[in-house]
Amino acid sequence: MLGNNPTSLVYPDPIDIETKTQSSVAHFIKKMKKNKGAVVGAMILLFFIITSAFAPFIAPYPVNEMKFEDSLQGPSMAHWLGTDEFGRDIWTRMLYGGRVSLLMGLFAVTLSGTIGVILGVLAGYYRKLDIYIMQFIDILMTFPSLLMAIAIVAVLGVGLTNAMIAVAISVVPSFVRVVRGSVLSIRETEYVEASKAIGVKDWKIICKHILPNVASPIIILATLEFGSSILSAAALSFLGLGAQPPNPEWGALVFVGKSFLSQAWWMTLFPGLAIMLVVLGFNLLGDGLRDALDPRSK
Amino acid sequence: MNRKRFVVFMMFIDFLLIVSGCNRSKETDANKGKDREVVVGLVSEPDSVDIHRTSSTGEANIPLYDTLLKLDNDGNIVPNLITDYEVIGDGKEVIFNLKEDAVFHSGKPVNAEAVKLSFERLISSSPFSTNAGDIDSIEVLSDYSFKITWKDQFAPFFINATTPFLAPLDVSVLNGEGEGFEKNPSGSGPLKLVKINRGDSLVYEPYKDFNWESQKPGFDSVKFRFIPDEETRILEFKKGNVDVLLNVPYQYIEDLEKDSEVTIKRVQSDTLSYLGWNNKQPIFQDVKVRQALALAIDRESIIDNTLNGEAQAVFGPLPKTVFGYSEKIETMARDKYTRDIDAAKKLLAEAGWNETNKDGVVMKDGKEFSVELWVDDDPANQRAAQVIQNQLMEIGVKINIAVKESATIIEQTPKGVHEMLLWSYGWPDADVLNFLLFGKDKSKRLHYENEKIYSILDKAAIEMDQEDRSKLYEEAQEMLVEESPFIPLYVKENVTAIRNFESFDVHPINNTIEWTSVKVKE
Amino acid sequence: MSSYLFKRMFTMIITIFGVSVLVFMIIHLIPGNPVNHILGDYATEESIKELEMRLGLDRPILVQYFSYMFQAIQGDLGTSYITGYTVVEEILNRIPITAQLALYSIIFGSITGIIIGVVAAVKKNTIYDQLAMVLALIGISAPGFWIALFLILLFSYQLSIFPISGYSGFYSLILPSITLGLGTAGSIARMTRSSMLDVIKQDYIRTAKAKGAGSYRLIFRHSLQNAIIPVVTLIGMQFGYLMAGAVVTETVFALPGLGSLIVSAISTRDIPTVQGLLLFMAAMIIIVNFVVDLLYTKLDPRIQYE
Repeated sequence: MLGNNPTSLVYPDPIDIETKTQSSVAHFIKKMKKNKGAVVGAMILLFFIITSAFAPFIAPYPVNEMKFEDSLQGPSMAHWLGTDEFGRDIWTRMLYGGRVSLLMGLFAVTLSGTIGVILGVLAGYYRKLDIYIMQFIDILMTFPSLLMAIAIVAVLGVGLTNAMIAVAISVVPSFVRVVRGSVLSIRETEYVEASKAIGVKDWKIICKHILPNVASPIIILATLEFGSSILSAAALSFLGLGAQPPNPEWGALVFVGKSFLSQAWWMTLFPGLAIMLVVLGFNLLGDGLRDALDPRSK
Repeated sequence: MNRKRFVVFMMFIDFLLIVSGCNRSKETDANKGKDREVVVGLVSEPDSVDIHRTSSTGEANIPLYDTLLKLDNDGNIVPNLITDYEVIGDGKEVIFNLKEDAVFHSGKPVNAEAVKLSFERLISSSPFSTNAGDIDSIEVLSDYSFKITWKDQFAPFFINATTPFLAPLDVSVLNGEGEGFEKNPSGSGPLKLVKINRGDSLVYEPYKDFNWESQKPGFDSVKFRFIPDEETRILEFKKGNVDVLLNVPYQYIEDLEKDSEVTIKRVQSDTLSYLGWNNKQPIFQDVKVRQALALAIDRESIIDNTLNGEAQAVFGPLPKTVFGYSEKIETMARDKYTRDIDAAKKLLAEAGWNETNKDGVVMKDGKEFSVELWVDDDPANQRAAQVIQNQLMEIGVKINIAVKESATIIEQTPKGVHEMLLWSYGWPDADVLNFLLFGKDKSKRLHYENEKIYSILDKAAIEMDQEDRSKLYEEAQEMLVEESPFIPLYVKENVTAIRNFESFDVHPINNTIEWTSVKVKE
Repeated sequence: MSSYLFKRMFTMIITIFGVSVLVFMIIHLIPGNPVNHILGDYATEESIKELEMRLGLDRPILVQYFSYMFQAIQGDLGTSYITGYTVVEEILNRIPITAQLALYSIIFGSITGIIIGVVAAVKKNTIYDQLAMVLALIGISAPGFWIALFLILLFSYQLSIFPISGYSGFYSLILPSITLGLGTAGSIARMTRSSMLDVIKQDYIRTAKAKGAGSYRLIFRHSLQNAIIPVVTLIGMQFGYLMAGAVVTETVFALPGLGSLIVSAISTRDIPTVQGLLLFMAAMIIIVNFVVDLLYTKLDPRIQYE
């Protein structure tokens, strides 16, 4: 998002990831453990996931309670990350906001992943559909994802749900491309040819042979897109098109904090930092997964 | 081979350079050469400088125009382009006489013919034509006098003629289709357009043939810069790149006051912010519910905590600066609706909202009292909405805030798809109660139906006697206070920050910069 | 080659056509009749009908689409109902800023990215490599709007080095370009590193090494030159992201470019402007990618298209 997210380049080239059938889980874990980046990434994510999940228990203050006398206080023992213009605790709001941001990412990836896998498998497996689907995807890909999301929000209206849908739609093309590429390389393999020859039904072949084999690139892509979806959603909120007040989604917190930047830098700094760390976490983990799942990498 | 690749790469760069056509860099600071430039920082660019087209009038386009009549500092209507007028018979016909030395920026005289043509364009194609009333004919009587005949008496005409909406524009600069004004405007106001930098700024110079009240203009040029971001705008002012900062964001006022070079000008705005709702929604049909909501609002807390105290609480339907305001109504409304949580809760219970669920929201027939509140994207309004949300929660009413673009709110509310909205109106005359708020089929935002009020407002619109007119409005307002179809909240202070001026006045009633008074410190 | 060119151009036209249909569909799904917006609160039924007729909005949607496209091909993207400017005028007014912003951020991104990538590749598996790659990832992960705010606060406000906002020549575009170019720098750094590592492994580099070529000469004469090919493609692909990124960057820095135009056009429901801009941006992206594809063959004589 914001032009600084050419995730397509972080993605593996689909054909690069040769299908790696049922290699031992232990081997995978060993590889992942050796990858320092992936471990750091996983730790960052674990931190944010746990704190968000247990926000109501960890949060020191009620999330929307206003205490006007405490407004715009800098970081202190009472308020670790300071307070906002209504005296609400920033740390508390970030904990709750993390739930929104992470769920938005999850939703966007799940929705776009599902659509992307269906279209990708159809395009890759049924060659007749390929040209139409891919032409459509090429058209969608012409629009940079943020621009696409803005156009969709203009149609659907401003709001959190619509922003999620917009982000999800804008991510679909990359899923389709990656899945199609992987399916193409698998459908020519001997066992698929053989299954076809003995008359196994298409959907059985797809479920039994194709899907398990395209799982790795999908997982890698989903991890990377998870991060960039959070970034896209935050940018939409920052433009005022996403989460609405008093929702503490991280992008919205940065948006609100912007009005107080020279008086209360903490309102902007910490939520922005959280976005960056989470996205970084997903990128590190995604890189690690690719290295571990790609048999060519040492 | 290496060289070849390098050449190709440079070709690529060249291609981009050509695309970018760096033609803008030349005009950098072209105006810095002049010593007395005034830079005004504004939030947004007007969509057009054509007063018959724009939906965004403001400081950046109204100085192009000189109004037919004007308001003095006490709010009285006084002559301007129109020197005097004569109401004939029952008031459907009025003869106007124009001042004889006014000249458009194009050099053409502002005569009766020009005013007539301007009115005709307004009536035929402007969304704001209703401001002129239902005009039957305009007749040129002599070079500088004309007669307007209305189909019905139209009392608000005179006050409307003090607004730029009815100001004459020079029709002679238009093209064949009656358009093209936005690029080549010509009015008769104090500022003449020099340059339009779309998306960035508008540059004006003082118009030499304007009546500068026997002085010379105190500046050489004016540049209106459009800076959408609040923080950036304030930083530009602090750095001294902007001399006049309009609508200073409230959270920065204290900060700016510490700077000895900066002067803060406060003028009570004529815009009343209100919390309204769609009165056709079943949930708002019960007057007890409407009164309960009004009792739950603490205006001072909103003003102190979101507007830095820079606003005046208003309880009655009209703010002080508007014709039709009555001290009696205001006092009555204040006594009735000063915050009282217990009374509000009691009224809600009487209306049937007597259960409370685990979240503290009141319930009736198993349904919770939960409504959506529309608010525009102004940061101060969004903050106010959150405080209102908290205040209403105290009586168990749940508000969900939905931020909408102003364009969407303006367009969707007449359809009645909304529940609640935080909105405002600004108009110098009580006729606004009729044409925008509560008139028959004109209640665009509030969808309020009350035959009695319709008939009073209709009568007031055609009553030419100002005293009788104001009595009628008092009667209407009294009913509105009792019925509580919306909650008037406050009028904000219009806060302007300036630096390096010998003199600089803002009109106390309509809040516009008085360019004749502006003098840059040398 | 020429048959490839022909095929490529054919799909390009199909894509532009598809984009136009998509844009037209999106625009006509946007709630809100522009006529209501123009005529405001007090419009009568007749005046609405009349204006609809004047703007051609009463015609069937297909007719509207084809007449729009017919005019678009002739270089007429319509006229804004609200501002009275033609869309082409508006685009021409604003494109210099967005184009310069894109150009400078690509230059900033490429130079920084290539330097970081080369350092990482040469010092493979050292702390420098890891540091460089973490830096690159941060560039990709950080929200640009957030970076922009702190750049303004530090360099413009505290240190007074750059103007805070608005357009006043090259100087005023430095911070926006850095903001926008950070992500590009990150991706280019990663790409440079991996393609250089690939090239270094190859035989001719080993040969050159064996012949005793000095290590700096080696890096620049051989590996970097060959590694630059994928980087150029990447620059082409970045173009679209820069266009989108310009939306936020131009808003924060108050730059009168295409990005801020589209945001304001959406908020005022200025349909012809939104439609024309989306179409124009999409066409630009498609064309730039096409040009980059062609350059690709020029840069690397080994690549031949059938």
